[in-house]
Amino acid sequence: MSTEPNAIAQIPVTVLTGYLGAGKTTLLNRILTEEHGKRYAVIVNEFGEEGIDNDLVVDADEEVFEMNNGCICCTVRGDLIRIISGLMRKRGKFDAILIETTGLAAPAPVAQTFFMDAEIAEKSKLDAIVTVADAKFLGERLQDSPEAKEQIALADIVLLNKVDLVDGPSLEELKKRIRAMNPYARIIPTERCQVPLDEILGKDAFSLERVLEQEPHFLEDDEHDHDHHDHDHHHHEHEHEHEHEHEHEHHHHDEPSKGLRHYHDEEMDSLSLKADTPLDPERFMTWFREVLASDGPAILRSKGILDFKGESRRYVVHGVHMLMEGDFIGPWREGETRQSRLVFIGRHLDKDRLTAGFNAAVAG
Amino acid sequence: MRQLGERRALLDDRGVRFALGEFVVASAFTRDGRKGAFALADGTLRLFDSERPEQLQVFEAHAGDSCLALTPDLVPAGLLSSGDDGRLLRILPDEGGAPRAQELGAWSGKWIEHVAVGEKNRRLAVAVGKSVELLHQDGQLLQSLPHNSTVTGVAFDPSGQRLAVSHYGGITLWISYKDGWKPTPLAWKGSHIGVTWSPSGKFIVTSMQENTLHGWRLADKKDMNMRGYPAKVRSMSWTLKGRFLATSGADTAVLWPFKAEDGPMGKEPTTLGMGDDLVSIVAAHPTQNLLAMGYRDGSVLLGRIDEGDFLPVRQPGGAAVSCLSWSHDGRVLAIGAEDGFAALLGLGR
Repeated sequence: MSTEPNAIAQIPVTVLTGYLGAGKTTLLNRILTEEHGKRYAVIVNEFGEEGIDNDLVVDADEEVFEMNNGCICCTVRGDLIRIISGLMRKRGKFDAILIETTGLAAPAPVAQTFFMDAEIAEKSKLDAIVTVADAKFLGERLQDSPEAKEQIALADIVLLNKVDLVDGPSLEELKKRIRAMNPYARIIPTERCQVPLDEILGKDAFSLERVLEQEPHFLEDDEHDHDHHDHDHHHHEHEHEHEHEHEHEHHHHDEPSKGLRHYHDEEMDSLSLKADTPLDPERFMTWFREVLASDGPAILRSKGILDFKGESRRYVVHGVHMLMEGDFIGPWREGETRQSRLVFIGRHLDKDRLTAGFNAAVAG
Repeated sequence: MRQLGERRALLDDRGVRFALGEFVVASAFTRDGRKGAFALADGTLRLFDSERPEQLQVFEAHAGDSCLALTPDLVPAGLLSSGDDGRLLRILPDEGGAPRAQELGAWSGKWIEHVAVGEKNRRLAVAVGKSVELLHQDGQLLQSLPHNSTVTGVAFDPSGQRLAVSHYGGITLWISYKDGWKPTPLAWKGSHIGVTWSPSGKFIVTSMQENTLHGWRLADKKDMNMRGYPAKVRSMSWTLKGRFLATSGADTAVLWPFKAEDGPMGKEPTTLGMGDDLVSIVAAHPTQNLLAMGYRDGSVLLGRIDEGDFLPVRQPGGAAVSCLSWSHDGRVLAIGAEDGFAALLGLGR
């Protein structure tokens, strides 16, 4: 998939997900009422809890459609295709679109709509998936709700709301659980959704360039910073376990094998792969496509920055389920460690097989 | 394929052009041919007189909201206009010298995007969310036809006794009986985004989310697949006497032959026109073997179907052509574009 031709500016679309009562509507109303000079068209579910005061509000029906291409995970939101196409007729009247989904809606079809539908992709672009989570109840939701897991796993930004209702250790624990499921989401702890809006809007999180800029987030944050660096010297075959250790290190120091079982009740998991030796581009792409084709339903999101043999530029890939986009974006910087990194987020990932496949793509 | 004449386009030398400043959603002529209108995204209609097309009259139809569809009415002097204000209006452009609107239906909060008229039995079919509201021509509700997903298209057969409704997973064929309309589902996996009924009444064709067309031959419910489009087919138009189904979605118009009993099965389509961009709209001439084609780059061509050649009507420039329609006698072509460009081209001898 090539990057989109953009004769006309694409309208940015922010998706707000989150369980009922997490504070989504509070955030939505903040976005709509604060002075920021931007006009929004808002797409809400017809069973929204509260009223929304905005000129341009459209009710969505949440119609998830399978494509007639044999792929069960290639679902799109038919209602969004219709609504966004319709809104484009009055594009002079707004600058950006907000989509509020219900707590029970799976966000993947929303994201996939922007990959699958050429007309939508031409006229609009997914800016970010913002998941609002209730710090007090997220733990329970992660146990009992597949949708809540998916909303965390797919998020670019997790707004961990109502942090005033939990104590410090619980909050740290929650952050770790989120990070185990989704290592690159930015976690923003808030009370009453008090977050500077420029931290959640205009993020362009779905552009390949942005994947690169986000690179620090792979490493950044919280308590895990140092960990990757610690393992830099390790040979790639072992990175997989170490990554796991990394994700859960505060619970299972030096017990990499048990790391795999950690938080298993959540079924949603992530796998970070690294290689210090350049990859063979053809072998990698063949394997990556096969993986997305075979494991697409289980893999919610993938992101990678890759060092291809004989190539001075960084290759960037990202995907939602089996849909992916990839391109060369800019050269490796002077003094930058050339290293391939790939993250999968998904359910019941077959980590050994994925790791073996990735390792087999290392240029020999 | 060759281009006729010099580089000058028909609109350079004749016709009337307008800059309306709003997305032109649709255009249509009244059946008596005397009046017509452009429907805009600001909810207004711009009414014109076929004899004196230089002047457009602003008419507030769906104030504050957007027009979504405009079609010739069953009433010879009328137009049917619908919008995202949920209203269906009968527009009488010249009643006692002034335009007038009569509300035929109102469905609060719904977008009314698809309206079909059954000429023979004086019926209107209006898509309202997942339902099709079947109205008498005066607006009286006769029956609500429910579906499991949002209705994306409605089309009557020539008799007006059968109605095809497109939606996710196929179409529903509704047939009129003494005790009401009864459904027959015709399934085909995927999302169907528009429907048309052949003038012969023998075929139904839908456009699909996957850049294909799907068809059914009604005699035996046999499926037909028409593939190969680089983009979604947003526009379908039957050429004179139903010989071809002309379609948008490629860099030429794609015409599928439908004259034979088996329709396009096993046959290659004909192409017409040639552009640097994709065809966004097609409109077959009502009385001759001609096809008007609008492109995403703003150009408009007029092609001769049998000869395979074409004339430029408008050079590329501006936004995509969003609507094309012929007056019923075929003497005037109305053109509208996404950036508010509009034109009326007379083709009288």
